[in-house]
Amino acid sequence: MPFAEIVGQARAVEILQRELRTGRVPQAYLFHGPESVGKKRTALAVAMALQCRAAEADACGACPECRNVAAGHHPDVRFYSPQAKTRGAAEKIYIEQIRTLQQDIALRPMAGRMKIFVVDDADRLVEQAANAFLKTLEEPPDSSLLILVTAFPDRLLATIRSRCRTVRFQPLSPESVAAIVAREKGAGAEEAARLARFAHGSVARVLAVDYEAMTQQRAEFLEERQRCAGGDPAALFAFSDSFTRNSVQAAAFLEFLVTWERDLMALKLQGPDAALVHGDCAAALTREAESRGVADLLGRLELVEQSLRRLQRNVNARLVVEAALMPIIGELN
Amino acid sequence: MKFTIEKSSLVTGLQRIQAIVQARTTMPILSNVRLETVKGGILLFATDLEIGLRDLLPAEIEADGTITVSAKKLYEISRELKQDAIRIASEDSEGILIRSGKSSFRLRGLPAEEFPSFPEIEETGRTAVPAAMLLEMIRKTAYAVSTDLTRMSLNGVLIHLSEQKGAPIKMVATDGHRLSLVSRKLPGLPSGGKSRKVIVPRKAISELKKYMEEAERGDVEIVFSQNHLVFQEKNYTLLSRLIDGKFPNYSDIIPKHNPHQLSVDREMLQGAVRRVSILSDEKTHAIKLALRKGEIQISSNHPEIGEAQEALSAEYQGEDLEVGFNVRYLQDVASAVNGAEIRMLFMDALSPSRIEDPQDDGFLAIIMPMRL
Ligand SMILES: [Zn+2]
Repeated sequence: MPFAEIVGQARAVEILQRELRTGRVPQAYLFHGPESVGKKRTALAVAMALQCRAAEADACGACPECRNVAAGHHPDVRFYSPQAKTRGAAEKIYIEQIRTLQQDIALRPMAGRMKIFVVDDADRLVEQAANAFLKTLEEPPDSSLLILVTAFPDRLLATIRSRCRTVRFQPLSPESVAAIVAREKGAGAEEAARLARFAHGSVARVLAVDYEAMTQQRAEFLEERQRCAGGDPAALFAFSDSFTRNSVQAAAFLEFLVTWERDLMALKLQGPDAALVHGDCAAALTREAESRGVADLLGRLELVEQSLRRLQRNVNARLVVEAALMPIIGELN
Repeated sequence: MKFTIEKSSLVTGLQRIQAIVQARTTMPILSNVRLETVKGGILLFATDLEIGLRDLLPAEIEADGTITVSAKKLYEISRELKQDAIRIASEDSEGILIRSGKSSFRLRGLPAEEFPSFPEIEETGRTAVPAAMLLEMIRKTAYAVSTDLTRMSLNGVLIHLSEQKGAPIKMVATDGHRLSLVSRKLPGLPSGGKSRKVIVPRKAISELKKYMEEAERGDVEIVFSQNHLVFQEKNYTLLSRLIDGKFPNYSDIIPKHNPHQLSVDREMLQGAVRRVSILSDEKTHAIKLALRKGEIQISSNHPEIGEAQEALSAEYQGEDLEVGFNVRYLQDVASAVNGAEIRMLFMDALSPSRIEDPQDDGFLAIIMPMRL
């Protein structure tokens, strides 16, 4: 993937390309920044640029080397990411993976000029693996480049961080997200902009979401909420049941709820100029925002966001959604 | 593709790659073997991305083509076929049809484009080594290769070729507790004309050894490049990535002035060590050599089971000395010596001991003693 296809990370790309051009690529990079803003894509672009035989300090995207890197077949470009040891267990990067990396990094390249090892979500190295990895970072062979990717650099050992050249990735501007959405989803400018606001800088989310379904969900939510108003527990349970037949559905519902609550916060703090995801419901949102205090809304938003994280950790979907809905519905009367 | 091949030739070729295709890897296609028709035969290629093996098997080609199929299954099928002639054909990249006598097998395949290609070798020099010499050099060094994955630069054999005219080729291995070095004069001159030190991973060394042990071989051509080493003998080509690290400067480690010299009959020493080792501690594997004028006493002591000792007459004029060794290190080095006698040179109980073969100037080993 040529660097031109990395959207919204001009500064990081400029630094990397300059280092590639001048041959001052370090032995290890740490790419950090919010989730799904293009860190791993950029790591792929660096790997390609180093293997590409056609382009200078960039990837042509078309030569056999570039194609092999893109397909994950290049013998000198390896990806490591968290894995679950048993089904349903937490995904981590284990010592066995790092041992494989160590054996591989000790050899000269197979086909290319360099060996590139991308460690995704490097904050999830288990302790033993992190310590072993540190040894590799202390004395990496000359012909190798390690790229660590993380959204949580502070969870890495300080000794690991200090041995990497850090490259900071920015949250994507709504314009950047819109550009990516327009490209990937073939959306028109206006729709792309609306989806981009929903994304809050995360491209993955916007590409995954089914906007039609979310509009439908919103309608159901607003209608159901009216019916439950007054905090009748039985009605609340029935309501949350209807959104949580499985955890995928529950996550989709909570994702929606996050955007709704964020819109309320935005209105409260920025007034009518706020850029809203649910701009077509501005009147309803404004009414609700005016009737609540900032602390109150912030508490609700935090609760919903936390619920989403709990859901990702496999906490029972219905309990999570009920807990998130309780204050939102209970306070409507 | 369409060709007819002799069973024994195909089976031998496929057997040679079995250890390579069984390596654990994240790319499923690497358990396949690549078959390609070339002039006069079939080119087999298998790789685990550390080493690659290419072999040309004579075959009668009727139609050209390239495909990859499971190396294990093709081997198992070929081995079991009753007839001598095997006919293999494929219409497309979906698979091959194997026929022999009244048996037929359809084996699914994967397109060759997805298979890693044999890397381009930018040759920086080459030298020819007689197979028997190379095999002997491997046998005399490979035992000392480290298996400690935290010190990868010791996980292979160093091949050192000096630029000086008439200088020998050297092979060295060490695991930090022992070292083995063998140097041999080359019959011909290496090309490329500069000093080379490369570390060849254990796996390549062991595959090459297997190949040379199969049958008598001619000269092995060793081709050097920045990233690889290639061994070629006739139709057989073994490629290995080199270890990317610094091998310790071995000449600094070799003790040069060990004054106390012991000479002992090798087979008698091996026998005594074997017997005494029965009662060595299975945790430390320690045995003790007590050196006196004209004699050595070998003993072991297992804290729970008992103890053993055996005396051997030997040529020794140094001062009385007691040295402990890991029994396996002593056995390994004794097997690497060809001559009837083995010579050991000591400084004291804790300094590295130097081991020589009185009949072979080119061999030298070092063992670190154990604290008793
Ligand atoms: Zn390219």
